[in-house]
Amino acid sequence: MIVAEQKPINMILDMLPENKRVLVVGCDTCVTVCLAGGEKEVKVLTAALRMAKKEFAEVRGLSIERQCDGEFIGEIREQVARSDVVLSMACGAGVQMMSDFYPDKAVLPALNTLFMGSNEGAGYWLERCLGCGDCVLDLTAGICPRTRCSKGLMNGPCGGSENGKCEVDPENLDCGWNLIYQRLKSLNRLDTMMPIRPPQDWSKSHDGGPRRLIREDVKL
Amino acid sequence: MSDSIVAVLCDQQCSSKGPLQAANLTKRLAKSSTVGKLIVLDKACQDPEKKLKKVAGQKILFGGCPYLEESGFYSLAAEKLGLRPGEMLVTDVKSSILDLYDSSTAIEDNLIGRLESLGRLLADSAGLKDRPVKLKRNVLIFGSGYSGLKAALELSGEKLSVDLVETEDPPLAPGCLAEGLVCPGLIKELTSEVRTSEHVAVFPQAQMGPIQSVEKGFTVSFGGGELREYGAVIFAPERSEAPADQIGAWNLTQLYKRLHERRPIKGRIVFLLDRRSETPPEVIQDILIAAKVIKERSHAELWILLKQMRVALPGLQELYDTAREMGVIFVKYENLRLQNEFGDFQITGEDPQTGASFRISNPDRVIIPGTSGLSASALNAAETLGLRLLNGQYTQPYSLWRLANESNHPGVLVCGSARGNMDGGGVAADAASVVQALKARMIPEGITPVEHIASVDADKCVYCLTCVRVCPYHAMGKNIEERVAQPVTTACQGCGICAAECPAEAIDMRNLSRETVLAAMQAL
Amino acid sequence: MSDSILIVHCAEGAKKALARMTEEGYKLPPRFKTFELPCTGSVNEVLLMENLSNGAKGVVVLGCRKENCKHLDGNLKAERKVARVKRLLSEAGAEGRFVEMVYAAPDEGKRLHETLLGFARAGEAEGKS
Repeated sequence: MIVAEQKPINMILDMLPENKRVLVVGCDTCVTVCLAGGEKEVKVLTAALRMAKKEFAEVRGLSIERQCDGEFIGEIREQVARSDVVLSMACGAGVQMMSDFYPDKAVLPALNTLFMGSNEGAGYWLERCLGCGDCVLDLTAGICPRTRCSKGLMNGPCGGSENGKCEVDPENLDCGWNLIYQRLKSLNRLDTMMPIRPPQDWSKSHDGGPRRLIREDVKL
Repeated sequence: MSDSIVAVLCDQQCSSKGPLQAANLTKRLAKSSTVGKLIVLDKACQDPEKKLKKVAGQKILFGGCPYLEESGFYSLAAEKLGLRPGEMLVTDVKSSILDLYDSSTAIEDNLIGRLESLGRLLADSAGLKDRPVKLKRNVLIFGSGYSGLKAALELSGEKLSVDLVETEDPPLAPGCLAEGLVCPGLIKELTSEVRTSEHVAVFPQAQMGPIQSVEKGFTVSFGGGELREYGAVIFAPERSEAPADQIGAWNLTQLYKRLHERRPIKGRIVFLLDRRSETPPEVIQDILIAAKVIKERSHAELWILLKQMRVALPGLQELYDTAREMGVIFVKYENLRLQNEFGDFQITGEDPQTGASFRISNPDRVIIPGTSGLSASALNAAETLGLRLLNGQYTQPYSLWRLANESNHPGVLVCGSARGNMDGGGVAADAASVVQALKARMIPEGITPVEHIASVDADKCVYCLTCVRVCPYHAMGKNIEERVAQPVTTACQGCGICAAECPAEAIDMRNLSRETVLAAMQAL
Repeated sequence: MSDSILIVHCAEGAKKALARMTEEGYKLPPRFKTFELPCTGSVNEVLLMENLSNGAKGVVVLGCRKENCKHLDGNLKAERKVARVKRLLSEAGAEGRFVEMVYAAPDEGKRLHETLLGFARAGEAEGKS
């Protein structure tokens, strides 16, 4: 899922114009699960803004199911009309969609969206997927060489791999290609590692504007 | 008053505040039909043995500070008077005695009440008369570790009578506690609460005959021929298992037992800490005290390997310093390797700060804080009860371990680490489940329900599983069809932690919803 | 902002500590209000922040001694929430308000009393500056 974290509150305060009516909008999907922008966090941030040194005319808060689907954004039309500024606690996609729907209001991001990742345990999320558009997890036994290898090598490891650790941060970072090697070995598929693969086609990733996905079979 | 007992209040250590108001107590107890005589042994008493000998031949209820039990005072007194289990009871009255110096009637009332109820218990039991009188009690708990203590306390809160039996020596909470699996502070508090409860009779170092099942429950004969009958049995011995990975390694319980028995421990001894998880400072404290004792007795070559020198406990730093002065070698390690080839055992690793490597060759004994296992007496009791062991655990009809485990023997509930390797949270959860199950069975109408059970608003729940992970009782489950969290109401203890952590504010506690709470706080 | 200080305490050790404190004759001035919850673990940031933003001067979370939480580690969880709210308050520049975590020792009535009064005094000093 999408993992995000709250901006420090003093940065949020800097963004917000003084003496205006602020509406804090949360999102009940990804950012709730990563404990950054759900109902509870809306309440905490709203209370903090009310007590902050900077004065606002009014601070209200609510949360909607998702900010990446217009139907939910449409539901809060009236509350937005009664505000001057919308502080969105959604991921970057949500903030942008909110801004598209309410172009006459300042829509500000309360979070920094970080990565697509997994929850490894209470309070610990790990980046797993870059959204490169060209998944090779079949070749690497389910371990991504883009995210888990610091250099994003296609035919790793590099010379900086020592004792299974990456030289970038030998205490905390595992060498992704060592992980791939060990798992391919245990699956008896080391032959998969042998062919030299051509470098990734990065044109399938962030390249030439926002990527689009159009599914003809689902279009109405 | 031939059926009455003698109450002996012992205040050897704490009478710096002045004389006990013995006169008051004696006057009030003169009207008691249970307590025939009161003796006070305090610092002013010149010859306590002489005083005690005067009541030889009678049953005695000892009351005093827990320190007296630890120092073996009661066992010694019992020996001198030829008392057997069933002929004496011990209870903790420390706080009441100290409070007596304030002459508060309420505190006196409490003490007298306790003396009388426990006195009745003692008076009714067989003992000296050698009459196999069946004394009826509600629950027998075998094992006084965390699960046994917790269960005893909770059940006695419902006014169920409980006998708590411990056959191991040293009594009360070895096993899980020693290995650091359950917090020592919690055990101490539970122990003192159990001792002062009027519904719980504690039998440390008990000599029990075989447990037999009868029509409505179970009977056990205690030393002295006294027979007691119970409605249910909770089997909750702490297990103490040798660590599996090293040949000849001991866990802490095994070490402490040998120290207690004064068996020789010498040569090259290595403590290996922090391998699976951080060692709590209280456990390090125990280890350092043990290390001192080993050094004093045998001048062994002692190594303590750890990842971190925890000092977050008063007096702990001094213990480290003393240990060092006595020659204990402390090593902070990383990249630890244990190699055992053809009987040549090498422990190697690196100091994380200097990168320098160390090597310890062929230690005579390695000590690793372990998990839990079963003692010999627990296995014996289990055999007597006819409990079946399966893969080292007692048979569970349910696959979800957090539901109360009724063993293959109906009426016997197995609780705590005897069911398998559990961490502290698992043991707590299990004790709670067992208590709920027994309460439901024994007091169907009068059960005091847990007031604030959790309830999940299915519309708001995003199924993030935070509540499931955070519940100390493992009492939150998943409703797989509706894809929401669902509390196990029989296990929920109403602590409210799930409601606090829920990022979607989807959990409320019954009778304590967040709106009610906030409104009530506003109204103050 | 009123001058009221809310003591949120658990139904176990903290309750006993407060009772003991009162028994020993240490009374709290009327600005202190108390509210009982099953465990301090059930206190979250929303409860702390909303009480403060609704006008309380301070919230004191009073839990059992560190290793003695009946529900294993509810008090430690509460401490982390209190720490987060403290940071938020200071970064947002919310003046004159405070949150504090106190671990109650049931046999130290005098010390508890002094600690609680100390928070009130510190709060005043801050407000005046």
